[in-house]
Amino acid sequence: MYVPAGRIRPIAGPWAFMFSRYTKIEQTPNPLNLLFMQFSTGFRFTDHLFGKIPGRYLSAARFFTTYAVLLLICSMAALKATARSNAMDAGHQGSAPLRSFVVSGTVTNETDAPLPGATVRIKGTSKGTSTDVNGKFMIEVEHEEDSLVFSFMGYYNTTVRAGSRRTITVKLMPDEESQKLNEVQVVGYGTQKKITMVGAISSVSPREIQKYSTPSLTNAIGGKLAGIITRQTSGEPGYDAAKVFIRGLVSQSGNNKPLIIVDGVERELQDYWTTMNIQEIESFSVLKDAASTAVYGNRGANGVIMITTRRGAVGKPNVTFRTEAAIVVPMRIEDNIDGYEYALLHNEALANVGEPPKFSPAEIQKYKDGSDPYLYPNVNWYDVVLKKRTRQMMNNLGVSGGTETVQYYLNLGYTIQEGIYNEDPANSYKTNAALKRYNFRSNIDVKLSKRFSLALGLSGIISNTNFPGTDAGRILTGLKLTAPNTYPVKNPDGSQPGAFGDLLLNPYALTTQTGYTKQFYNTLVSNLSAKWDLSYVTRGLSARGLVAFDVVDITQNIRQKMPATYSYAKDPVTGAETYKQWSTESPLGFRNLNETYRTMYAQAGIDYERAFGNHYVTGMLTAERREFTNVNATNSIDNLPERRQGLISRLTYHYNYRYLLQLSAGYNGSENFPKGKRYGFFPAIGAGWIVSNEKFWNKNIVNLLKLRGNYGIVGNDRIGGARFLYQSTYNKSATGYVFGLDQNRNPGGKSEARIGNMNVTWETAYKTDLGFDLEMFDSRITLSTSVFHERREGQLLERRTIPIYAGYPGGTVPFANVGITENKGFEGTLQLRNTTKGGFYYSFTGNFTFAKNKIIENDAPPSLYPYQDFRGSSIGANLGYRALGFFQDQRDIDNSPPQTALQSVIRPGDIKYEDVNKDGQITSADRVIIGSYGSEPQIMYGFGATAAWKGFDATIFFTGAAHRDFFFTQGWTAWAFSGQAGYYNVMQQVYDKRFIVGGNNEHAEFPAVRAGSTNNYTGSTLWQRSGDYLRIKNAEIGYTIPVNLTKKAALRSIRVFVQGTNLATWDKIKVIDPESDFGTGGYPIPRNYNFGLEANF
Amino acid sequence: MKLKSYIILLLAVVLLFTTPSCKRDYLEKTPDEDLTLEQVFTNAIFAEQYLANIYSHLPKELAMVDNPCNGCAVNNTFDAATDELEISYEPNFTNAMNNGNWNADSYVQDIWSQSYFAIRKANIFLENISKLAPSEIATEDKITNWKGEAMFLRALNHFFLIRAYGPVPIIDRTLLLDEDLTAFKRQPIDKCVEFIVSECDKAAALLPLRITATTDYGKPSKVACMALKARALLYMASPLWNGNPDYASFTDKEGMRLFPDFQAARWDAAATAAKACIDLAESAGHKLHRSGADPVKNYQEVFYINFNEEVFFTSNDPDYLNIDAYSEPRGMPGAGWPLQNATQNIVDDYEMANGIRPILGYNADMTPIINPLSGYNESSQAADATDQYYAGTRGMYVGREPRFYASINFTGAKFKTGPPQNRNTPLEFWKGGLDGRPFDAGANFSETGYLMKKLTNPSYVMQPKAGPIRTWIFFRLGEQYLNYAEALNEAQGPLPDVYKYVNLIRDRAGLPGLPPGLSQSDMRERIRHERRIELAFETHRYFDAHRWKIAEKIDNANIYGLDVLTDGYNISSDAFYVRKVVEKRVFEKKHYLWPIQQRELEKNRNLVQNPGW
Repeated sequence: MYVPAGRIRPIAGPWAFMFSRYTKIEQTPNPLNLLFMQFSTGFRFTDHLFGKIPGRYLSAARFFTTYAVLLLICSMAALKATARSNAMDAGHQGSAPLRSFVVSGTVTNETDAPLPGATVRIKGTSKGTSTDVNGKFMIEVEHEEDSLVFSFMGYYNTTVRAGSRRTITVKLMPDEESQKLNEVQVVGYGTQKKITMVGAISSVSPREIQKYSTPSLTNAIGGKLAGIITRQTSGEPGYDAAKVFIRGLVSQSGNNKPLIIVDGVERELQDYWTTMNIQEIESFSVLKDAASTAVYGNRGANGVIMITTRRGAVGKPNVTFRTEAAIVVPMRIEDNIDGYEYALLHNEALANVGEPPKFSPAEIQKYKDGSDPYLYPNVNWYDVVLKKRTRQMMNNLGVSGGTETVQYYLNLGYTIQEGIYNEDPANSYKTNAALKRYNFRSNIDVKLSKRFSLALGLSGIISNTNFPGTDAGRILTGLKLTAPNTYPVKNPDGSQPGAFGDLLLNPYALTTQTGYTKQFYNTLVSNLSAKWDLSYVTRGLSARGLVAFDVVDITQNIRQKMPATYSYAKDPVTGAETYKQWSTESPLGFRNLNETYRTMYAQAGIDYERAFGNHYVTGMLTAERREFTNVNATNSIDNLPERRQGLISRLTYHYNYRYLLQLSAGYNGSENFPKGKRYGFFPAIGAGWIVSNEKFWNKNIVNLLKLRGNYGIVGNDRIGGARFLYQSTYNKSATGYVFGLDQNRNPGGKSEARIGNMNVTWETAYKTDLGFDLEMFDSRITLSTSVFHERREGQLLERRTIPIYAGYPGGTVPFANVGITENKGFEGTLQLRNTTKGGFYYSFTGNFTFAKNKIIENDAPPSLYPYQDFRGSSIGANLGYRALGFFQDQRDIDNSPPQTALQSVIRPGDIKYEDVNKDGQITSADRVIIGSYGSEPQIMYGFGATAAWKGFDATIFFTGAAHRDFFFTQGWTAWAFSGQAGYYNVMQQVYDKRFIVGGNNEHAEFPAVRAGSTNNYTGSTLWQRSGDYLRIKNAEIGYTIPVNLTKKAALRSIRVFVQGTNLATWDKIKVIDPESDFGTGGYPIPRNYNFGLEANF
Repeated sequence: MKLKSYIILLLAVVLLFTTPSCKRDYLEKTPDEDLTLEQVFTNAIFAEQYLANIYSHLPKELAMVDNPCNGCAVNNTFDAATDELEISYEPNFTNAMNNGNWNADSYVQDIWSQSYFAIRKANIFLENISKLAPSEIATEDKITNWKGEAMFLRALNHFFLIRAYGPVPIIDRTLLLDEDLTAFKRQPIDKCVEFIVSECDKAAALLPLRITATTDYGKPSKVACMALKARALLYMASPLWNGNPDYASFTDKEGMRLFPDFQAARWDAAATAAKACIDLAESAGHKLHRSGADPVKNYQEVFYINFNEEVFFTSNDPDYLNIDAYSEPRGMPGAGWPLQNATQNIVDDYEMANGIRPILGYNADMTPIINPLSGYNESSQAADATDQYYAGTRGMYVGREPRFYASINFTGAKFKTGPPQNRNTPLEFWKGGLDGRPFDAGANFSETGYLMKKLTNPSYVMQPKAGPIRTWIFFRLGEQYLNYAEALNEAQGPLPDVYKYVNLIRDRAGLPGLPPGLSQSDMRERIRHERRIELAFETHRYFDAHRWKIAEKIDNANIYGLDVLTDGYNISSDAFYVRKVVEKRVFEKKHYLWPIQQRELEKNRNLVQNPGW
């Protein structure tokens, strides 16, 4: 919820009053009281301090000051707690009763490491204590006959008779069974014991993600978790995040992005999460089915990615320093023909339509031998513009630790990612793309009393990016546009070459001579949560509250300029040199753009967890509100805050870890929908049976078998289209008309802008998930699988069955929730882990996801040609002709159905299409659906192995995708001379495998080259390729220096490692990356060779 | 004590962030500054703006060369799809039409959409304008006029539909999204015309006799309504729609015939309507435009003196100057788009100044059969200059009727001789000539050796592109004279009134009257010829050729020009003036009616496609 800056003041007033009175009574203020005092004085202080600061910065300033005060309080509390316990110790020693005595000692785990926080209790009494940071304890014992019970979660309880000993060292042995039972999974609005879950959630260890050297989190998760499908289409610094889909695409029109929850708060704000520092991540999970996502109500249908960040633990400060540096090599730079081949091909294209050649043999020879590089240039612009390699560096320094009262985790990260553009040393500024990012995080947990704790998480990201004055898309297009013989690298007089239209600036000038743009991202992500144990009211009850404030501020300083370009010519007779000027130089301009987005979020809830004999029950009820504001929006609609609120609840029950039941529901609403239709109820029910916990089960081989299933309804309110679609609006500045003798009276125009749809609502997903989890041989092998089915209804589509004669003009045809799709598939994760007696550890892990979507309803009118109906196809399918090959000769053309509807003259070497409707001619009616998989892969998988022995460890991981269509389409160099001859680069593959009129064309894959062919350069199966690939996504070799060596250097551990990312790719496209979009060869994605070191001390 | 503090903290936190910031529901946050229908029709200024927006859908018939942008008002795709004009710009849609290379899936001139968009807007206007209370800004009279305008525009857009597609669904109210939209189907052509006629009558009752306030020029009057009515009835009476045997079995899915049997009375109705229009127009002060004694000027001025006394209704597009730019000969400074090429076919059809047609037909080698009585001599050259051409001009262009000189630019013609242009050389359309095809490839040139002069403005200057703003005339008195003459001759034969009105036209054009004693069919030919010349380049020829069912002859034939592709000629080179085929045009029976778009048929299976498509 949004609190205007001015509102804080009146609230701070009563607080100050309330708690200042309070502190008078309390002689020794406890930390909580102090906190309140400081909160109120903090606000007053900031009011004073920031009185002159404009209101919009005030709340942020207050926030920081208050935060600083809070930090101070926490430290004071920690000090005070320590002091108090010292004083207490002293007191006890001085005045111990005679019969009783004090026992002290240490509790350790199986590896003799101290166990902080273990409970020590005198058997039969309620008297007890717990171990400190060093695993030490001290307890007063009444009698030597008393027994001490040592317990720690996940370990067997140990009972020791006190006897006459005054110091005791106890080693607790792990209870794996109980550890498993108590293993906890983060779920929506809470945590759940993993064993009792009935939903499909998969997780990946942060260690695994850290094995990729990438500043973008999304690039590290593809193929790592079952159920996730990713595609990275660009490697541009700052814009290299992969697209992420959970169980594939489901909506034809809505947003298919998953919901992102970081530390319990929705945080997709400008894709903030993709820039999160990977080192800060404690857990990364994906919630896929209704049982897991229904609590997110109308936000959860696309699945949820749940990230929690690291927190401190009781113990001495643990400092981690990690540094890594990578050599980055751009992959799959286009391989295009050279100037000599280009000139030959140009002549061939002309000859193919019966026109005389453009270049004489003498001229072609000049292209070949490079004897006249200015008039007959032969330039590989990719070499001129792009670097062969660049660099990337990531550094992290983290500290964590804490006492019983305060735990902290602090981390600072610094990332540098360089782009791949060559620079002009003459520039006084940087033009190469570059990313510099500073991340910090501080997560503080304060236990204010036995029952009440606070947690503050604060994270900031400051990133500065630099780009050339021309965006990457235009530069890469420029590289594709500019043929090797268009102009030389530089004119003889040193000026920049240029030409007409799109060729006005050469690619080098585009990259280095057009100025630069700097982008500044300031991201602040914060949350403050409180937890209150209410077990004194009733056992198992607790309450919690959470508030969060996030802001992303993006400023761009655009300093663009236009360079002067000239084309050079030389008169063949007189030898006179001339320069024609194409563009004139402009000075470096300045433009500033600013975007600011804010999110306010609040949540309050109660939890209940209790066992009644063998009946275990948990309950959760939460209320929440969220407000998102585009502060700098350019129109009144976008400027309105987006608001949501809802109630969430979950009930789970299980009988003795055997029969599981879960009910969950979200009830939430959004301001985007018409009144009375804003709220939706999204329930889910799930059940499970842990077969292996039945008495009859023999756990020797299969130690866990759980069957689970669930069904539920989840919504997606990110339906696409404009906001407030239920409102009918009028276009205030529609086209008018002129009247009057001199046609000078235009009253202006008004027209319908949008026909409101009073029924507009969210998408509704009906999800079913069935699966089992299996563990064998003492969990050395684990297998988890799910089959799933989803029917997504109510997708927002512009009505397509409204006849034009109804007169709804383009753009006013209303949208309605009419689209339906179905998505089904299966997924699985297999893991195998073992340590041999000799200490050799090995593991294998693999996962597989298959998700196939199908359009059930798209509101398209029934097509006259049933084979052109997209219903039944995947989202993103295309219409195109079915290519039968090439016309071999004129006779072949004469004997085939005429194709003149596509092109007035068909010649040998043109593509021959199938007459699908058998009407004796090829027309657009013969197009069929080609590309049945769609733009995103249906199958994604990953597998890898790790081995470790005596400090060495090695990992290799493969990821792959399959069932994705790829097309060589327009704008790309596969369509040789598609605009006109001599325009656009031509791919080497096309040149080598083209149809040559009169030649041997047995192995031809591409049509004869003809400028602007409308027959050939249209969508057909000839241009279709499989987008399947398999790549070595990463490999890592590490060595941990033996402890006896590191100890001497006061280090806990030190590990060095070498990594490689995207080391090899097997696919069928070869010439550009198989993950790239149709027909684009955008900014290439990188192959990294990364070296690093991680030290703990 | 401690417990209390925790409760207070928790409550404080929860209250701080969850208390609604105002009394309204937290989610009740909707934009209220957006305009609604209610607001538009209770505000006089907004209502007038809404009405103005309906006008913006009027076809831009001045634009003959460029294809319209996607979703924009349609351009003129008719002049160059018949035997008077050729557009030497390949992407122009008429070139696809002339090759027969178009179908229901692909055409850029989206008459269907634009007309129905306008019709919906007019329906909304008519259904809601009663909400507007009369005021200073919008008096009761003004509101009445507005209603009449919307009604006229709705009828006119239906007419634009039927002249291209034939029978269409009549949409006389706002269609709602929740009704069964497939219940609408094509109405028989006579029902469509009936609707237009009755709407014209109703609109006429609401509109002023003639637009008098100069600030309102461009709005329809009573006379304009009557002109539309008369033209619609003329079309209805003509052979294409009136008992066309080709369409006798053309029915919709329920078997309803879409074209009726022949009724001779339709000609009477057309004649009556045209006469009523003429009488009303003349009572309102409309007359054929004449500014002096020069018949060339009198005729030429009709089309560039905006809102002259002959004009009933126009479309206005002050930003459009390309009607001049695309007819500017290459030899003028800055010119480079001579794309509006008049055909040899129409050049040959202009009469001589003595009122006799010079060419009776053609030999197999395309040499003309010359009418010896006409005085026409193709091989001679003019010894002396006139106001229209220089000495040495080919005999082909000598002694022709005044409308020829007002309509066609030809080799030897005088062009913009006065200030500021002061050109003092004859037009030269041969290759290498000042105005002909240049030697560098790829440049635009006249493919026929002629440019359309009619509709252009002599004071237009190509460089810098500047000239008076223009209008396109939808209805003028001259057309109604010919409508009346044609209908009356068909209904009752060559009565004196037929002679009277044709001769009024010829008289303004500086030609002698028709010879007396013509038979009905001779008179028919005379009237058709008169329409071809008088109404050339005004979109009439395309539809006249269709309704007379002669398009399969004249539009399925060669288009001729001079030998503009060979260089080395001069003004007296015989070989230049030889008729050459510019284009072999294709016109099949199906082309009499445009196809309804495939996507529209798919939405409503109750719509039937036109025959042959």
